[in-house]
Amino acid sequence: MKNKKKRQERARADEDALAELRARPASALGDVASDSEDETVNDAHAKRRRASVVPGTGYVPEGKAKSVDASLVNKNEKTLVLTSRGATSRYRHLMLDLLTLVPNAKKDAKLDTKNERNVVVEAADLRGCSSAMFFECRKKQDCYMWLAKTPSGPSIKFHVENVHTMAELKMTGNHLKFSRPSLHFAPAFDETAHRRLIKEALIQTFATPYRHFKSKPFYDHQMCFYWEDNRVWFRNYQVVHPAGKEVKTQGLTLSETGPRLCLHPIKIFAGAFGGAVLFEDETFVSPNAQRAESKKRDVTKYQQKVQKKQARKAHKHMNQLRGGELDDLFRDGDD
Amino acid sequence: MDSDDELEREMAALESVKRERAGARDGATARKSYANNEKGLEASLEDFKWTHKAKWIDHMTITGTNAERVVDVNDDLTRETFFYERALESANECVRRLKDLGVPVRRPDDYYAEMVKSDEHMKRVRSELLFEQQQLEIREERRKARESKKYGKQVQAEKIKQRTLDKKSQIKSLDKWRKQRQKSGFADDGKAPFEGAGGDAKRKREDRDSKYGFGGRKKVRAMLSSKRARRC
Repeated sequence: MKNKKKRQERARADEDALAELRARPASALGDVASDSEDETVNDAHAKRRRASVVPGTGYVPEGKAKSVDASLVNKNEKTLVLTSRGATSRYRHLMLDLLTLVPNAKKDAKLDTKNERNVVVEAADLRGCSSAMFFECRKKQDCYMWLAKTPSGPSIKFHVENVHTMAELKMTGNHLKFSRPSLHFAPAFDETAHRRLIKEALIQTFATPYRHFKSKPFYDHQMCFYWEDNRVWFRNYQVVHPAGKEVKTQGLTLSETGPRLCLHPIKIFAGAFGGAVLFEDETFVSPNAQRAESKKRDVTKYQQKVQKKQARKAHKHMNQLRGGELDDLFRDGDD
Repeated sequence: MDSDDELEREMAALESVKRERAGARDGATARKSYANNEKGLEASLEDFKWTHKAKWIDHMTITGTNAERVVDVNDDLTRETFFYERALESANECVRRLKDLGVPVRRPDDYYAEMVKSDEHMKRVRSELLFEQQQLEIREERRKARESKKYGKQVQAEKIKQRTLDKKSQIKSLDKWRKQRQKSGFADDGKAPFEGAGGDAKRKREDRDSKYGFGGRKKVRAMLSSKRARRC
């Protein structure tokens, strides 16, 4: 008798849950979410998961979560990441680091040619990507990063400077792989047109779509973009939530996870990997020119040294000690 | 005279050629114009942007409110602390917004998943940190030892100075004692003790007396130790 009553109660609760699910607005459910809805109807496991709310941790299993009003405009946003042949280990590691940070990124094989970049657009199209990040390495030392929206543009060419990868040991932070980051932008990004464009492109590549199937549902890292010295400075921090007794005394802390890099925008093109030049940075000096300049400085150093030596020699020659009239006054002469 | 004029004219020609060349070079760099097509940029931005349509949760972007700029980007420490502070502000803001939306923020303690850095990597990081700390401690110890050595030298010098002073004062007091005895005409027959000599010599004598005995039978231990001393 008792069991029957319980069974009836359970059935009623299930019906309520189902009704709730159906009543949820369709806009809140993306591809992934609608899959999980089918699951929840049939799957006993999913039901059990829904029931296991963990109090105190803020963890709410997906089924029980308050439905969040998301537009999901970027659910199909994907980035193709690849390097050119001849990339040094540092830049290869940098690329791999970025791949571990962005769940909606696809890695592609090294590109053989440096000049026909349209191949990248084709590759992105084949992989169903809406943007591409291409590391173009030259002379085994300089690295340029192309950030392009494919297939119709725009694209930005950055010079990559001051790279520290995650493998370096001084960064102590660590966070879940593919958890959704928040993106911090300095207010300076809203000041001019080209910075606004750069900001938009960065958001589109680095933001993880809501409920992406690879992403994890917690917030534990933050990517930061600062605008200083005509460059974009990138930092990635772990967000450390206070635990236990610390909760009341102190709030969040951050610890840096890496990688670090500096992106100096050189040019912005209207198309993907080409087209009309919309913006050009005046302050950029190509690394080739920099090297040439420093060499020139060394050349003049040597010239100066030689000239000084010659001048000294000439001076000595001109000012030789001449014998005075009275020099041989006290000398024992023959006379 | 003619040759001098010729030389001067030549030099002037050379100068003018140089000037021309330099002028041409400057002109070339000045003539290079840098594109900044703001209208084109805006149009392009309109073309591809979606953030104006998206809800905040779609991209979780926070633009800082603090418009300060780093004073000197080449000063690593101040730059990084500046970056850290701005990041912390927006992290707090992000947590607040997520809580408002009812989205989970903290992961439960029993939620294990793949991390960005492997355990092995983190172990290496930790050992590196430990190593650095140890290095720091060792350096500190060495520095202290060095300083104490320097200080020790001072102490030693001070001691020697004190000893010479003591010696002087003892000699003085001995002289005084002698004079007093002379004045009194040696009335005490040399039995009045000298009070000034309380120093090392007296203590040494007393120590030895207690150890080896003063008259009487010598103890075995004392004999042994004296033997040992001889052997050395």
